[in-house]
Amino acid sequence: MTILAIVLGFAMAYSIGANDVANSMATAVGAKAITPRQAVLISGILEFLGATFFGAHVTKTIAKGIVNLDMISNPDYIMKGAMAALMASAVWIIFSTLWGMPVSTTHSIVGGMMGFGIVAAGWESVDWMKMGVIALTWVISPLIGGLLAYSVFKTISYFVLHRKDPLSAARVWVPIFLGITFYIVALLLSIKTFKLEHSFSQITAIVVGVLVFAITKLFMRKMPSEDPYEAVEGIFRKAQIVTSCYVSFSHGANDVANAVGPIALIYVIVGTGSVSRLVEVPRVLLFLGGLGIAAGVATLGYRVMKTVGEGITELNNTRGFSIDFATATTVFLASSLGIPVSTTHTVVGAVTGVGMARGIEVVDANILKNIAIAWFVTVPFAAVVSALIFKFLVLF
Amino acid sequence: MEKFIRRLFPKESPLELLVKLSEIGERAVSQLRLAVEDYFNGRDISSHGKVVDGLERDADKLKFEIRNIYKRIKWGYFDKSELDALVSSIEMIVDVADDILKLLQMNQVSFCPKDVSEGILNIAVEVERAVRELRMSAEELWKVVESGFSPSEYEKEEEMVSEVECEESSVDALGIKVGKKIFSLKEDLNPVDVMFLGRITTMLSQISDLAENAAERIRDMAS
Repeated sequence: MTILAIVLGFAMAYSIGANDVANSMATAVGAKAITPRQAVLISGILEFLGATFFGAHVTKTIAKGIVNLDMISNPDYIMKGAMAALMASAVWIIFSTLWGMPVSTTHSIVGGMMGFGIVAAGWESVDWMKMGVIALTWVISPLIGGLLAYSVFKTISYFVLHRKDPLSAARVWVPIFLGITFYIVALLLSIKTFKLEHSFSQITAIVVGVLVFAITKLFMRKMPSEDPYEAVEGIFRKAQIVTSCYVSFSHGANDVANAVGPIALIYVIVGTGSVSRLVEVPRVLLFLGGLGIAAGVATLGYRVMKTVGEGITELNNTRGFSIDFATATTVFLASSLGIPVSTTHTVVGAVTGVGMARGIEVVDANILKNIAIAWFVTVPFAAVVSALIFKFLVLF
Repeated sequence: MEKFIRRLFPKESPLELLVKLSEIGERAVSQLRLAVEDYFNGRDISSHGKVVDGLERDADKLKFEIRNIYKRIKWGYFDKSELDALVSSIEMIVDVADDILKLLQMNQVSFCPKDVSEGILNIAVEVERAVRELRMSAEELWKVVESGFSPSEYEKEEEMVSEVECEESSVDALGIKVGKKIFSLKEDLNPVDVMFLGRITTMLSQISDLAENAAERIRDMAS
C-alpha cells in the first residue's frame, strides 16, 4: 500500500512539475527574463527547495485539516481514503486536461479528501469551517494577486516609468522590491520552518532584506545606460530572474502538498498504526514530492515551458515582474498559513491586475469564466469520484 | 492546460499591427506621390496602381485582424471604439490613395501648365510628409504604452500630433492655392480636365485630413 501510494504520489508530483510549473513560470519565459532551459533549471532547484523546506504547512492541512480523522476509527479506511483522494484527483486532472479546462490540482485534492471523508464518517467529519476558509481563499487569492500586481505595476509606473530619468529611478526601486522579497521569504522561513522566535526572525529578515537591498544597489550601478525604457526593462529583466525563483519556491511550497498530503497519512499509519502521530510531516516525503516535481520539470517541463513562453510575445519585464512578485507573494503567504491555493489561478488574477492598470492587454474573458466554473465543478467532481473509489477499495 | 496562461494574452500585439497598418498607409501615399510625378511626366502609372491595390488588400486584412483581436480583449490599453475609429481612418488613407490612382489612370489631361502640375506634386509631397508623421506618432504610442502612459511621453506624442496638424494646414493652404489656379484656367483648359485636376487636388487634401483625424485619435488614446 505504501509503495503504491508513493508511486501514485510521485506520479502526481511529476505531473505537477511537467505541466503546472509552466503556468507559474510562463510570464518569466514569455517576458524573456529567462530562457526555457534556465526556467527548467531554476524550477527544478527552487521547486524542490520550496517543497522540502516549506511544503509541510499545506501538506498538514491537506492530510489532517479537511477531514476530522478522529471520527474514522479504522486506520485502514483512512489509508484507502487517502489513496482514493489521490486517484480521484489524478482522474479529474487527466479528464480536465483532455477537456482543456484550467482546473487546479489543489482544488482536486481538497475535493478528493472531502469525498472520502463524507462516505467514511458522514458530513460532520468534514471541517466545514476550514473548507469555508479554503473555498474563500480560492476567490480571494486571485483577487489579492490582482490587487498586488495592480499596485506593484502602478508603483513602478509612478516611481520609475513616469520619472524624468526612469533609469535612475529603477536603480532606486528595484533594490527596494528585491529587499522586500527576501525580507518576506526570510521572515516566513524563520518563523514557520525553523520555528525561531518572532523578534529574532524579524531582525534576521530585516538584515537579509537590507543585505539584498545593498547588494542589488551595488549591482545596479554597473548597469549600462541606453534608451531609458529599454534600460529599465533590462534592470527588471534581471530582477525578474529573482522573482521567477520566488515563484518557483512558492509553487513548490504550496503544490507539493497535492501529491504528498495523502501519502503522509498512509506513511504515518503504516509506520505507527495511527494518524495521531502526524504532528510533523516527514521531511523524506516532502523531499520525495520535491524530487517528483523537479523530475517532471526536468523531463517534460522544457517542452511545455517553451510552448507557453513562445506564445506570450507582448509581455515585457516591468509587467512580468509585477505579475511574478504578486503571484509569489500571495501563494507564499497562503502557504505559510497552511492554506492550499491555486498558483495558476493566482497568476491569472495577477495578469488581470496588470491589465486593469493598463500595463498589458488581456484577452479572452472566457478564461475567467472557465475558472469560476472550475471552482464549482472540481471539488464536487473530485469528491464524488473519490467517494466511489473509496467505496470500491473498502470492498477488499 | 499548458496553453492556458498563453490564452490570456493576444496572439499578436494589436499595437504592432496598428504600426504595420500605418506603415502601409505611408507606403501607399509614397507610391501615390511617385505616380503623380510619373503622371505629369507622361509615363505609365499602372504599375503604381497595382502596388497600391495590393497595399489596400493588406490594409483590409490588418484592419480585420486588429478588430478581431480587439473584440476579444477584456482589458486593453485603449478604448475599443477609439481604436476602431483610428484603424478606419488609417485604412481610408490607403483607400483614398487607391481611388486617386484609379482616377489618374482613367484620364490623361491633354495639357497641364507647369505651375499646376508642380503645385499638385507639392501637395502630394506634403501629404506624404503628413502620413509619415502619422506613422511616427503611431510608433510613439509604443513608447507611451511602454512608459505606463507617462506624462512626458504623452507630451512627445502631442508634439508629433501637432506636426501632423501643421502639415494638414499647409496642405489645405496649398490645395486652395492650386485649386484657385486650376479654376482660373477654365477658359484655357478642357473643362473636364479642370474638374479632373480640381478633384485630384481635393482628394489629396482629403488624405491629409484623414491623417490629421487619425493623429488626433492617437493623442486621445495616449492620454
